[in-house]
Amino acid sequence: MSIIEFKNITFRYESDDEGVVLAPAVKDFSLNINEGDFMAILGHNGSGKSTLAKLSNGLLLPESGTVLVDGMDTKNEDDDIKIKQTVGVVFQNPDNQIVATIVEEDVAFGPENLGIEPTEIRRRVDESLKIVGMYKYKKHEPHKLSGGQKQRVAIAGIIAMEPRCIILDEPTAMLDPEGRRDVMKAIKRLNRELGITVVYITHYMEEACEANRIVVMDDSRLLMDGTPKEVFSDTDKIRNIGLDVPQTCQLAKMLKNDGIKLKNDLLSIDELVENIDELLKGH
Amino acid sequence: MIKDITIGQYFPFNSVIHRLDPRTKLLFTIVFIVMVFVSNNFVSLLFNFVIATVIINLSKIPLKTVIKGLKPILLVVIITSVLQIAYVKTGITLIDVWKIKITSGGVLTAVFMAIRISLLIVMSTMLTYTTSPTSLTNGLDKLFAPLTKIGIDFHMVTMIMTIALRFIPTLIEEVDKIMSAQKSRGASFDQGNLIKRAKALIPLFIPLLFNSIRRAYELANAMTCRCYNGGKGKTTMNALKFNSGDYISYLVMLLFITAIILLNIFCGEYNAEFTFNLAV
Amino acid sequence: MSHLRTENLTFTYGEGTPFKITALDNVNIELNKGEFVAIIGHTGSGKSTLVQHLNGLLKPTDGKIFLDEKNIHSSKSTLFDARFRVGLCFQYPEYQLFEETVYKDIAFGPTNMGLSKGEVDERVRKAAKYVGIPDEMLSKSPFDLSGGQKRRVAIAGVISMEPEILILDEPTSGLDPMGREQILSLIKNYRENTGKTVIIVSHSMEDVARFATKVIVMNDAKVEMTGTVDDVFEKASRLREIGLSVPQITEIFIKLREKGYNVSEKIYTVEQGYLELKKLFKGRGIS
Repeated sequence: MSIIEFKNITFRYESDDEGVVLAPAVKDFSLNINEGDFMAILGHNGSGKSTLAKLSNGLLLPESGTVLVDGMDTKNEDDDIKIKQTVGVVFQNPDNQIVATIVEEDVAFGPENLGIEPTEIRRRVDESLKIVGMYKYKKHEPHKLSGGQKQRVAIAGIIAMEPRCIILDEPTAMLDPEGRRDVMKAIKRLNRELGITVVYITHYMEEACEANRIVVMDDSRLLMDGTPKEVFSDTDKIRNIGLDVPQTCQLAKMLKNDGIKLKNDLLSIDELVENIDELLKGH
Repeated sequence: MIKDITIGQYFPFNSVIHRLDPRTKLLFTIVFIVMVFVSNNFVSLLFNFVIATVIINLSKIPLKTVIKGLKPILLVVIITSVLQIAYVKTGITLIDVWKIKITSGGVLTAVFMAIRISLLIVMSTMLTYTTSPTSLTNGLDKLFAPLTKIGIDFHMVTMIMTIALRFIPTLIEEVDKIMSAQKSRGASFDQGNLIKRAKALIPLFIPLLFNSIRRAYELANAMTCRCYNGGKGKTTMNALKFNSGDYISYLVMLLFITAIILLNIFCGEYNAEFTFNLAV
Repeated sequence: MSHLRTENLTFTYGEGTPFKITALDNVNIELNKGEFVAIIGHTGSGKSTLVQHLNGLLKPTDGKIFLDEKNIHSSKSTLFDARFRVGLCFQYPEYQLFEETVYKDIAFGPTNMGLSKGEVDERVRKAAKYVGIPDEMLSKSPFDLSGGQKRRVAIAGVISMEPEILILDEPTSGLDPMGREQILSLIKNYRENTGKTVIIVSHSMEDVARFATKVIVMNDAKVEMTGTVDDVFEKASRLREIGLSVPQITEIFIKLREKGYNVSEKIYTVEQGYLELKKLFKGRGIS
């Protein structure tokens, strides 16, 4: 079942200069996001992927076409709160998403706005902070946390609303390797343990490999759609649009060109090492 | 520089005063300020002073810190005192040289005013010393919530306060960073005359302004995504609750008001000559 | 004679309070003219604090910094000198742009140096060329540019001071692969064309492994390792331990070694990895 459906949507931003019409940021785009998916959206800066995040919960409305969230049209104002509660969005800069001066109060912000009972909010806040591994920081001031910690608080703030789908718009772009690792770990848990649909917008290939489906955007359109193995097997197509291919794929391809009989769908480091090991052990 | 100001600072100790409900502390502060203003004689003022001392003692905030908090308003106290001495000409003449005439009334009024202002400042800072900004905002929100019924949206005020409190440290950090970056390009912020210095701030303020607008947009988006709609139908996780300390405080408040009224009536409006004679 | 060096450089925040933090602990580094240096470390390792000492922005709690063997804190003029001779470009420099036009923003540094109008003009155009900003863009407002363009304008704003040593703090953070590649290659070209010393601060070995002639690894306010890229990758597993990311390709070879294969750990490009593996396969008669 689809949790979000984009049906032939086109969207363009308004220009600051009067009379100037900008090129569409998203052009005739269709995509179904299935409940339970872990989908990565890849694309270079300006490919339209961030706009897609804002279109998915009614923050922006398409110029033409429709966006359906669990069957509700984002254009329908009556469903606005319901839609935003169903699809939560986490943005790139963790600093600009945290509202309160204490971690736990920030996580409570969403449920409070929804008018939920205080005891239930307390349960959700504690639960959400535990999932992202920030429970012991619940009384801390957000500005004293590291970037990765702040981003995990922002994620907890979304999951406390108990959404069915969470969209993350380059959540690790401003983080260091450690912060990136921790955030990625938290996101994987959301998908695997809570069954929340995850849409992960990124340009880090290693992170995209964690998904079960990858959508590649280029020039405001959908370019590729498939499993990580399918998408990254077409190394040339990916590189042509200015994106990287995981080094494992590059290496495997070079070796295969030399006639070394590696498997076709190697993606992770472990898979490649395992396969090399098998080949060498045979001799 | 910005970090040296103690007004508005919070000292996270665990004292009876810290544990009080923010609404209680807010009300107590308001009551205290009113009492200081209505006190019309030295005995009443002394009573205010005693109350303040007891509260400072209970709060575990070092006396030194409290006194240090008075430093920024020292000038105001001095100016007020000088003005009192210059304008009040009642009582016995103490000094009369050339054009300067100082009377006992002037001196006493000056002392009275100085104590009054100091007490006001001390008690207001005590409120922020013992109450975290978040809790204070929460208290204000709850205390003034009834105003919504008469069309005043106080929730918006407290939301603005919360966001301001949340972003002040971020902005201080940003100011620091932009200054360092511009200094690395040879900018200097502390040289030349006033106009030159004001001009030197442009490379600091323009980026700060642009970045703040960008932050505001992003924050608004994030808040919308979290179903914020102006506080309608909002609940609170940490609902404020009165405990025994709060009830005792209200009793103390009541006794305090009664005492000041009685002292004001019985000791009367202070009479400069009378007090002076008493002192001599 | 070293170009720039530090002697027992120590820096602490909040001296005399219970919140005292040692950001730099007895740091001794030495750079020679024309080197391409990478300073690597995780967040909070002290790498950014270190570079802010090199142009005299921060004053050390203890220790000295020598530029051409002259202590930069010996007088006001040596400090002023260091500010311009060592150009420092901060992380996310695009957030510090402020002028009405790109031209004026790039001119800010040279103007502060007290150069003549003609000289400033020459430097602005030269710097713009280095970062690939075309002439017609110079009259635009910096706020109308794309993210990648803003970053390049901001870098030009430091290059235009023509510093002998150019320091860039995390110049590629937040950029997509293409943007990252553009910035790194422009820095590489700049160094090749000018022969000047360049320092890049990063938490990723990936970005700098291909270019750096010297790597300084910082960990917990101290210098953990110094040496060539090869020297440092010899201890690739240690790099991972102290919270640094190493290229995927390096991890593949760490894992192969763990499995008992005699392969080099000094692998940091796909090309190197390919050659090393080919050797391995050939040795076993597979090709």
